[in-house]
Amino acid sequence: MASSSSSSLSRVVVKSSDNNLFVVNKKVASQSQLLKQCIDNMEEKGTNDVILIPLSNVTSNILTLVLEYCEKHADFADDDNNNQELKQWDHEFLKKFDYATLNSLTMAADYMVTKSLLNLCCQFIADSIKDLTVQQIRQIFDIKNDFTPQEEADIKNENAWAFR
Amino acid sequence: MDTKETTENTSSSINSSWSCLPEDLILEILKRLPVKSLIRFKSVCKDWKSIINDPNFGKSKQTHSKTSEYLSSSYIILRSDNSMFTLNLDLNNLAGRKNRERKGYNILCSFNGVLCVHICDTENIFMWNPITDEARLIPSPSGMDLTRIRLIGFGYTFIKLAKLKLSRDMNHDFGVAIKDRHNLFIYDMQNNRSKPDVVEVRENGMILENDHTLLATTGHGRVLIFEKRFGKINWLNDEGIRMEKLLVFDASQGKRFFIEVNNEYCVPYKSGETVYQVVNYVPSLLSPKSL
Repeated sequence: MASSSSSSLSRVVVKSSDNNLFVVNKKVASQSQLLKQCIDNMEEKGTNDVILIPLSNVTSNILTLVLEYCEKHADFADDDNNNQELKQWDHEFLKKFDYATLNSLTMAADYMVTKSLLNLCCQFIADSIKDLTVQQIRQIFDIKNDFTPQEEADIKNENAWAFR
Repeated sequence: MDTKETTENTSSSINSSWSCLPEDLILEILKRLPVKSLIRFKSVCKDWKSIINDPNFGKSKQTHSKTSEYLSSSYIILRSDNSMFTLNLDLNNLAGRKNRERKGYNILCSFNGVLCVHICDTENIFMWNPITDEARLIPSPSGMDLTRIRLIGFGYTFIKLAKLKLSRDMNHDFGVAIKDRHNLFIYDMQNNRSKPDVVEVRENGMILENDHTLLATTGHGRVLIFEKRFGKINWLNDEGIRMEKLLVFDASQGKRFFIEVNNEYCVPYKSGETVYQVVNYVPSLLSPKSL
């Protein structure tokens, strides 16, 4: 930490797709590889100006959530990853959201290359759909059944144990 | 009227929100599902079925092994009385349990979660994935004494062995080799036919090798398979004696040499235990039928 040179920035400004500005501490922003890359590039050029990073794919309500996650994880950045308190926090964090929010958050995590958040979201979604029926899955993911009734019956027969 | 419209809006917004997930994120989610859910979700649509059936999917799934109760690396242990049990894998949950009731069977080897199983007192040799409970019968080799099987392995490239060239095509990497005292039978799973005996066979050593698997006998009737991929020896001989050296034959160069077996590569074995076979088992979704 102390080694950072005087020319490096301590804060960046991130702009959401609906044009809201967020001032973000560099350590927090570094949780996102996308933001980190932007910062590194600018620092290489020796810029002393405040960097503005526009995120055209992320709305401000979702960006707020991503940054909340990054902030929490930046606090624990020096701890090892198995911190129980942090895990608990992660779980509580995701529990609050409906499917639509969770979905947008997953895409934002992917876009902003926040790997741990992406992992967390995917696992959370997997856990919440694992016991659903095939019909429910089709509904939720808006998937059209393109099997003939015979083909579908064959798959079910072959794998009957999984449907019990 | 108003109410109805609201309902429709809500449901369509849920639908669209999920359906717009890009395919790579869907894949990330599927990877984290337990095997049982995946088997069920094969019938969601053709796309999902082909994703789940793809051998590469099964492999990438292994990297998420910590997240699912089924997907931990396990040992299947077969004792000399033919009772079978596992570490970290509860076969009671699997349809394959019916195989326990049979008179007896030998697990001959495993590769990527598929077991090669010989049902005792029959001519039947199956490739069987206990996780998906899919099985495929391997035509029994004629003129072989299956009670005296010396060696079985699968997962290597006999294209390479036949032509002494390396095939990079994964699809050619699967086959079954069965050896008794005198004969060697090689079955090409991919093309559904037997291959002529093109492998050097000697009483003192025989060898089959590809990028993943090295299969070797040494003198004194000892048989070992060394699976490079997992860095583990996955077969002990009848007495559970650990081998110290493995004969290696490099088919592409026609050279053979011994390698020392490092203890850290060995499967756990307590002396005095009546373990007959130990198979390092990594559950996967690989379908024997698709090999």
